[in-house]
Amino acid sequence: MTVGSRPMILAVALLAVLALAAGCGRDEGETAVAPAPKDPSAPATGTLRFFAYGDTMTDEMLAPFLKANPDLDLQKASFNSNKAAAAKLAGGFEADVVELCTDEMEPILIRNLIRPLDPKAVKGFDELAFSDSDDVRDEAGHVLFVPASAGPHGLIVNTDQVSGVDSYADLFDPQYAGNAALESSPLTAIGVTSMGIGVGDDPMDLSPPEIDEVKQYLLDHRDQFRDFPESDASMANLFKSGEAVIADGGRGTTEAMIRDGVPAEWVAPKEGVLSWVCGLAITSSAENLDAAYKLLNYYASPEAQAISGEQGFVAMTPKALPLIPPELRQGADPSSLETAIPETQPSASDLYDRAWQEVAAG
Amino acid sequence: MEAASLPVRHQRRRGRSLLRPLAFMAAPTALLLILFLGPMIAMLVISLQHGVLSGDSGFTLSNFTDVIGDPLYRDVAWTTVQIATIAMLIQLCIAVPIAYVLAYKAGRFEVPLLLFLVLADELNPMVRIYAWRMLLGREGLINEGLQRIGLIDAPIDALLFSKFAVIVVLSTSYLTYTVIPIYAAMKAVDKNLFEAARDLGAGWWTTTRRVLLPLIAPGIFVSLLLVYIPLFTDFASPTLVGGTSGYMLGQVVNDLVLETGDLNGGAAMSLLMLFASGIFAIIAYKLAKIRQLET
Amino acid sequence: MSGATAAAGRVPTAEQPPVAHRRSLGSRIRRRVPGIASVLMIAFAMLIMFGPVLMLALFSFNDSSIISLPWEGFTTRWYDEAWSTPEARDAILNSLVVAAVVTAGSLTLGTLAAWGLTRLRFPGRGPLAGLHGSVLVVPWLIIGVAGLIFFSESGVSLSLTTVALMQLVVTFPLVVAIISAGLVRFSRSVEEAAIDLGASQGQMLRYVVLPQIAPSLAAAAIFAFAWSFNNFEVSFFTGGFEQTFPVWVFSILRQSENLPMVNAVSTVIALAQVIVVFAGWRLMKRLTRDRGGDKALTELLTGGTR
Repeated sequence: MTVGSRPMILAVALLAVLALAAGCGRDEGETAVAPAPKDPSAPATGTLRFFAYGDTMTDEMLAPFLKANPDLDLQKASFNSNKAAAAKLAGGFEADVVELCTDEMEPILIRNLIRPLDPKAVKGFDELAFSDSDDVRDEAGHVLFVPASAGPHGLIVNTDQVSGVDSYADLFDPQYAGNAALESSPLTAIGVTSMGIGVGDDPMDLSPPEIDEVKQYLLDHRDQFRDFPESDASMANLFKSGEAVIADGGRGTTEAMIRDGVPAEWVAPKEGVLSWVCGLAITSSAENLDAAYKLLNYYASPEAQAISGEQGFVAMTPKALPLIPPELRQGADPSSLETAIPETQPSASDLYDRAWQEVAAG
Repeated sequence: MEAASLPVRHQRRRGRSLLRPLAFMAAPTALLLILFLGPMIAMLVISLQHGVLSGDSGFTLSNFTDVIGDPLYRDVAWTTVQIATIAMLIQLCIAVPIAYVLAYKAGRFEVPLLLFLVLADELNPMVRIYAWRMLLGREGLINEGLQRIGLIDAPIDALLFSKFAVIVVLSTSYLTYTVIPIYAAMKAVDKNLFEAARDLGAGWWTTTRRVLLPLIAPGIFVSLLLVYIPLFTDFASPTLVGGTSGYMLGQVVNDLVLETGDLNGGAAMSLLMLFASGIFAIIAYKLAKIRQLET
Repeated sequence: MSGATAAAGRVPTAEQPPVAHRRSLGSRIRRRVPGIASVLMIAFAMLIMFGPVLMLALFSFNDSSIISLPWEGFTTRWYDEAWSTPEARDAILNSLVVAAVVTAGSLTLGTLAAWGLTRLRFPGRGPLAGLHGSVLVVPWLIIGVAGLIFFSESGVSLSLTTVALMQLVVTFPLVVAIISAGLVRFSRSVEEAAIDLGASQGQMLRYVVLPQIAPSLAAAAIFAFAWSFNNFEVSFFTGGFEQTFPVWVFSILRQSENLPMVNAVSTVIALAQVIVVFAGWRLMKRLTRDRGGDKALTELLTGGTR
């Protein structure tokens, strides 16, 4: 054997080891119920990594929490869908607390990215709206997340430019050509369009041919839309810059626009309002459980829910309602969602995703 | 070099001569093996496996066939090639005259101008994209300015969130790397050749086409090698200024990997893009070499 | 001006005066056209390369929450706001730390590899050089995705450490290229002569090699720092909660928040980069003074691409 070939053999051996390492999967995280903190009254310390939708963790919302826990280093990162959150968490992007929404949390659950939590460690858990729902629990009855926000999804219009809107069909009105927008979310975009053009009975469970029809309609009317914004903040900016005057969206987004000085108004279309429910969960790789429970407790508190209500969302605890200005109180009442169509994961959710992908890529 | 006449001494030299390369090369090579080849192999392995959630296990080619057979991705690939090619051509059209001025006309300004070229590369690309967005938007400076001087009545929406915007941003992103190889090739050209061409009665167009361009062709191919591949795989620019119509392959990779969590599909798509880049690189490299031999 | 250009220009100038004497006014104007065209060309390139960023800097002082005309008056409040935004400060700090580490690591590894690949003979040298070179051709997007897959499969959680490691992988081969070009340019015989004259290995490196490659080292340091600081794709895919500056700007832009505060931060960053490039240029001018200054500089820039 010549001396020269030794490094080559070494290299090949190393590569073989690497290939093996690449073949085996990453450790499964913790899946047992996250133990409650021993001393719930002590302020949280250390680092807490909070992974949620941008509008769930606004500065206004988090200010009281940070004030109460001055020694906590709260790091925030936002996502635009639970699917994206699942992809990042599974890819090694570790967080302590993650937001889940009932209509799209499947990818997070199926990969065991969260661990159940102890509802007794969350003050007033049983009073929270939707806390008795099956969506909040796994098959064994363990609580998966703390319901933290909910809201209706309808239409947003710029009142200076648009009036007399009462239907999703108005999104496709030629007079708004190039100035409409649709949230870049397969479920709502396909669902809202199906209601607007009268395809199918249940916008949350369209059949494959119905999905195809909706997709074709969207493709034929693509020029109607200025953009398909990926987040509430993007949507608000399209309205702020005058690039969109009508769009689908939630009341929270609308309230945020109004706070920014946009003459916006939220409209409940005659075809029906969609409703969504989101909550906070502890990840299976969470390190700072004490601080995680602290954050969950904060979001379940009347104080936090009052802020959420003022931002245009539903207040999840009845104790928050008296703290909310009267003009916003009715919208913040969970009963306002009773007649809405709950957003749920469709049986053909892959087809929804695919159809939307084709529309978005044009 | 000294002759290795004594076998003992020969042995010792051989031992030492392997020890020294090892001392120099071990750390850099180990890093590349673990964190460059390692990830590449991991990506290859993943691209040949079924998805974690699919329920199947073992190896498969389905990730590749799915990606290749998808008409949606074919359309996106076509858009990507269009945008990257147009941006590349625009950069070449700007870079050749700039390199010419730098190499032959700039005189004492040559080094300061080169410095500006380096600076253009050092400026943070995100800052640059951000600046373009500010200029091109509906309420951006260009639209506002044009309206104020009365050239247009309504803002031109097509400036931002369009293929046009992506092309503008990409065409200004890699000018440094387009200009410098061409400039280097021009510096190597004997200026007397132009004088000779002129003496023989050639006009500037003939001189450019018949004398200059063939001589700087290797430089142009190096530019292509350095710039076309990053253009082809860019994903920040189309994401930020492309809106709904400037969707490129880089975004497909990002969407597969980070939005839908399909690591296997994303890996397959990445490898296909790498393969295409590799073929392109080999062609550009060969052309550059052949041209160099001819000149 | 380089010696070559001056030498080439000498021949025509010696013969030209009598010819130019007979030229008409029209042809004299025609002769100036290339000059004007050159200036216009350069001006256009400057405009598209720096115009947008200059506008950004200008409007970071505009007292308006939207970035547009009209000019509402001078303010520094966006700078105050940027300074008091922890995310902005953290992102810049993270980027600076990563860039410093990556630059130091790249210079060390890059110099070792460059010396090994250009000065030593050993089996497998060709493939190793190819391995180092191939990193420069693989797009960063793909290295980023591959890094993400690698870390995810091996159970490593993403952090600034993974970002720095992957940036080191894509950056140090550039240093290898720059320093190798520097080493190839000067002859080995000087080193051998030094050894023959009784210099130790250390003395030879200190007094012969170091002065020769100092400009290359300085250039490599500047490029490595910029590559790391500006790196987006690799940092985006292999980063965790702690964001680097480009990733932070990207996420803000993606949410399409047109924050004037970002203008202010970007202006400061751009200004710092201008200063770094200028200071680097002065430094290299001093380092190359005894070898033709500017000529050595242009050689340095063009050396790697030939």
